Amino acid sequence: MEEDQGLFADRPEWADVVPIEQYEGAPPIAPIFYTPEYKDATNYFRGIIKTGEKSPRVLDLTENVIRQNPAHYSAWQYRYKTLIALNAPLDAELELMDELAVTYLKTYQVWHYRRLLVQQTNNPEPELAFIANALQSDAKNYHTWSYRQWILAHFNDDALWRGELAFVEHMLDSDLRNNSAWHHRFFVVFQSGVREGDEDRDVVLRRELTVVKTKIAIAPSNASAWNYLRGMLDHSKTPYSTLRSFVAPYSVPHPEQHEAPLEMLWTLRIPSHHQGLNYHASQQLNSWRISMKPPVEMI
Amino acid sequence: MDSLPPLATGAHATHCERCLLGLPSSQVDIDPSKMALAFYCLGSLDLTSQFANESTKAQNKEGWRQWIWEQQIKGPCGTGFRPGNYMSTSGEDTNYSESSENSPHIILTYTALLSLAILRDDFSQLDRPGIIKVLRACQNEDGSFSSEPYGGDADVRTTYCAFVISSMLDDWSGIRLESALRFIAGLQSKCPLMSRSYEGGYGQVPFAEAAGGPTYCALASIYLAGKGSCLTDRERKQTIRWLTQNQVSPGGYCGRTNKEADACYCFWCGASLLVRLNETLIAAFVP
Repeated sequence: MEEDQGLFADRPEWADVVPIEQYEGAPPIAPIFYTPEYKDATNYFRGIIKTGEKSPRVLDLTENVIRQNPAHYSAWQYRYKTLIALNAPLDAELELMDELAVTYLKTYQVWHYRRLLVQQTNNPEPELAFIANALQSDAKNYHTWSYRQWILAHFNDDALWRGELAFVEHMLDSDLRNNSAWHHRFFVVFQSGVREGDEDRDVVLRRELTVVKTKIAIAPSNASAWNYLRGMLDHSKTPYSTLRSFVAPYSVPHPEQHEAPLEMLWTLRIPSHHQGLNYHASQQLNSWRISMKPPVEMI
Repeated sequence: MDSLPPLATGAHATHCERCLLGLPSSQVDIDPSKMALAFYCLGSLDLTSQFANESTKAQNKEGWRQWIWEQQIKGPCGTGFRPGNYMSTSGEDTNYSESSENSPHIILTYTALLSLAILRDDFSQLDRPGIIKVLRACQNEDGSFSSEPYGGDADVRTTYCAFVISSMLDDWSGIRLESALRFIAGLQSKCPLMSRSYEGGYGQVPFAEAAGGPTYCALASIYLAGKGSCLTDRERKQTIRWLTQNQVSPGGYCGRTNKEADACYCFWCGASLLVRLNETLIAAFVP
């Protein structure tokens, strides 16, 4: 991390750069009352852009701007161009990003920038461990999971895929209701091609059925698991009716729909946290025979 | 349910007006999306009837319009609106800039056009052909749109904004529609790159988890393009099922399965249901 060296305006090594103030024409909408440090750094940044300089000190400057404002799109963009122009070591840059990504987990720029870097290094392998680590501080972070899916799909390397199912299991073990992990499982098993050892799709389907049934038994009101089950049945074009005996214990007969086909009936029963809200809705939804009566929790 | 306290309309309006006057240094990360903040504030002021009853000074409105127009910027790839003047160094670059650090942005072009409409602008200064050109420059090979002609993140938010802009200008020539739709929905072709998820919602990028915001963007895009009929009945029902399942006690919506409810997802999920023309369904949820 850069040490605090005070304002750029006070640093002799920056004396040759002409800082440029932000231009204000019409009275600005929502002007931000910048701190002196931010004004100083961005004045020098505008000065650098004007001359087009791409040098090691630009990396210091852009890091400074980014730390004060991680959403500063242009600072990220210009930093990337400078790195490439300097042929700078990208592994060191990724290390810095390991720190910034976790600090600014919800900033789009952090992740976009990281994609650009990894496409340059062409070395996705360390990324999976980095992501696993980032997920420890926020197990459902959308950017982090999308980034993992992108790494896997973009590089599509057998070695990368090999540990994914175990990783998902690990994530589900710590939170059975983590929908991001369920989604990732679907992505890995059904959406991204056939992995080595998974060529027999019937075997895969049976394995997944066992997994999801077991997890439903532990937490019957877990909507993520039911959605996964529906998803895999849809994907493999397996009729819902084949699961009649499994679903029946979790269902109650719909008062007016004794004759309803099972496809319709068993939609339903799912998440108990919806209880209460949905009486009116369930009346309304009758046309689809969706009953929202909660099932009995088994734990 | 206990009756809710009345909405503090006046206080909300005052808050928005105050934001338009200035923000503290802690809000510095708003700078690269200033135009979006303007849109939210102006929209709230309009919704709370601050413009209709003349309580907002004409002078303010004129100043806001001027500032927004100042962000319309031309470049080699076309014309659009930039986030604000945070990278601006002189009056000259308000007309033309070749710098990728000072370029038009699709999402903020969308919010600028809507803000100008809220301010009842006549759009005589709008460079229509330039905007269509910039959309063309932003569309990628996979059908998605980058937020800027020189790159930037690409996801269904940008697609939605490109579609709304085309719809507002009544000119779709800036979009390769088929590949844009394929990016969102796969649409009957067995396309590996699509944002629709097995849950029935849509993810922000292909393969990502179904979430409320992207689902609204995806559905609204499909319907704005007049391609609603491309979704099968089964897909439609699956989406409605997922959306309604996202409503949790005591009434709010969550954006993803098994997450907490949040005000913004009441908008995204509620609006998604409206897009699917299911007003009666929503009505059923209103206590």
